[in-house]
Amino acid sequence: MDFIRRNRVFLTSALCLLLAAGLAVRTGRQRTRADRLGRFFLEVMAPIQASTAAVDLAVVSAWRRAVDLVRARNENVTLRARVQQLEEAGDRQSELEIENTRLRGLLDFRRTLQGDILTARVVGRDATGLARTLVIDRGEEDGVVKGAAAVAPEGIVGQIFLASRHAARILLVSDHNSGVDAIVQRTRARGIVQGTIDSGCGLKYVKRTEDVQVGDTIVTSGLDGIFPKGLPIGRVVTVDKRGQGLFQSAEVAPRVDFDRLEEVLVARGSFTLIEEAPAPPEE
Amino acid sequence: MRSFLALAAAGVVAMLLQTGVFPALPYLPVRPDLILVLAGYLGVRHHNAGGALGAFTLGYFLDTFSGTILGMQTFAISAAYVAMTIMARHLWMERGLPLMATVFVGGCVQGLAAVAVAALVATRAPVWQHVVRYGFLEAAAAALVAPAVFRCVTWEKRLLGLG
Repeated sequence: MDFIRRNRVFLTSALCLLLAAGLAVRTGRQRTRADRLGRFFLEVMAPIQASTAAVDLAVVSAWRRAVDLVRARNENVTLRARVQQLEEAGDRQSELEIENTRLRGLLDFRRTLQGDILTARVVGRDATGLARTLVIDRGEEDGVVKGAAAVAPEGIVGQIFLASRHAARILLVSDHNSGVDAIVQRTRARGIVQGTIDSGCGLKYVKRTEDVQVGDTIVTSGLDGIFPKGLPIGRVVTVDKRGQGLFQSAEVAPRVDFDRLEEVLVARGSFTLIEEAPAPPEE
Repeated sequence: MRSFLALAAAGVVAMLLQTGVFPALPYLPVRPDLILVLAGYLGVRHHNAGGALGAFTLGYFLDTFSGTILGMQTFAISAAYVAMTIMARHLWMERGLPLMATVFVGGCVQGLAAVAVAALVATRAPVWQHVVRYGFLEAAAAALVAPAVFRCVTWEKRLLGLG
């Protein structure tokens, strides 16, 4: 009796296990069930399950929304990274396209020149605002010498005034120390283009009787022995005849945008223009 | 009686979760068997004939909503109850890892018992394959939720004034 009392739980469990095994053996081969307790449970649970189905749906919907949010956030991170990659690739490609266009223009322009011409890359600009100069990556070792002409597809750039072994400095045509013999393309009136202190150019020493008008193109005359005849310099923006002297002057806007210049052609010795220079490439 | 009601209510809620919510949740590789955890609660807290009968009833309840063989889950849950009762008698396991370990062992016993019943009645259902593949995971899932379920049942009993 004491044994039964001490092991009541296990004896009950053993009975339960036997009963369960019996149930299983009895119903294991049957395809249908008709146990009353099972039907009772089913009947009791059915209305509760039906009423909680809506709650289930809400829980599931909330869960799915949360999962979708997490997934969307992860996708967002991935897509942002991808967009950044593509933007970087696009920027690189745009840069390459721009460079390609620029170099093609330079090559086309190079074909219009006869002589020993060298391509140089602009690697620096003037250290102060007092002068207008550029530094290029070619020097004496490449045959660049002092006094050599530097040109771009848009027009003349200037001339070399200092050369080291691997670099050189160009005095721009817009520097107030430079002077280029020039003519007005339309009327062939002669003058000197000089840089001004405010980074523009002026056409000076043109006879007062000569016809110079706003919009006239100024080209090199070829008489200074540096630039060949016919290279564009700029366009007249104002004409000044107010003085009492023999000459009139004009303000000239250079064709070349010196601030954006990235490559130039440098002449190694004399060179000539074999045909009219092509229109500068569109940026 | 109130203790029976508390566990019955917990069983109903567990069954609603198991039949309604868990199956609908995506990305849930295994579902915790809350009925097993409740049997574990009986095994840990009710070392008496009432506990054994409660486990039997819970198993029968599970059989009503799971499978076709009446008695398989009844047997499995009863066997798990016995295993968890034995463990609970030898270990101090009101909470934490020992509790989870007990429920895990109960889950394993439940799987083995289900395989035994399936072999006994020579069912065609590949129960052993399921147990081999998912048995440990399901036991682990049940073990993971066991502390929370125990706390819920304790809270429910306190609510009913069962201390």
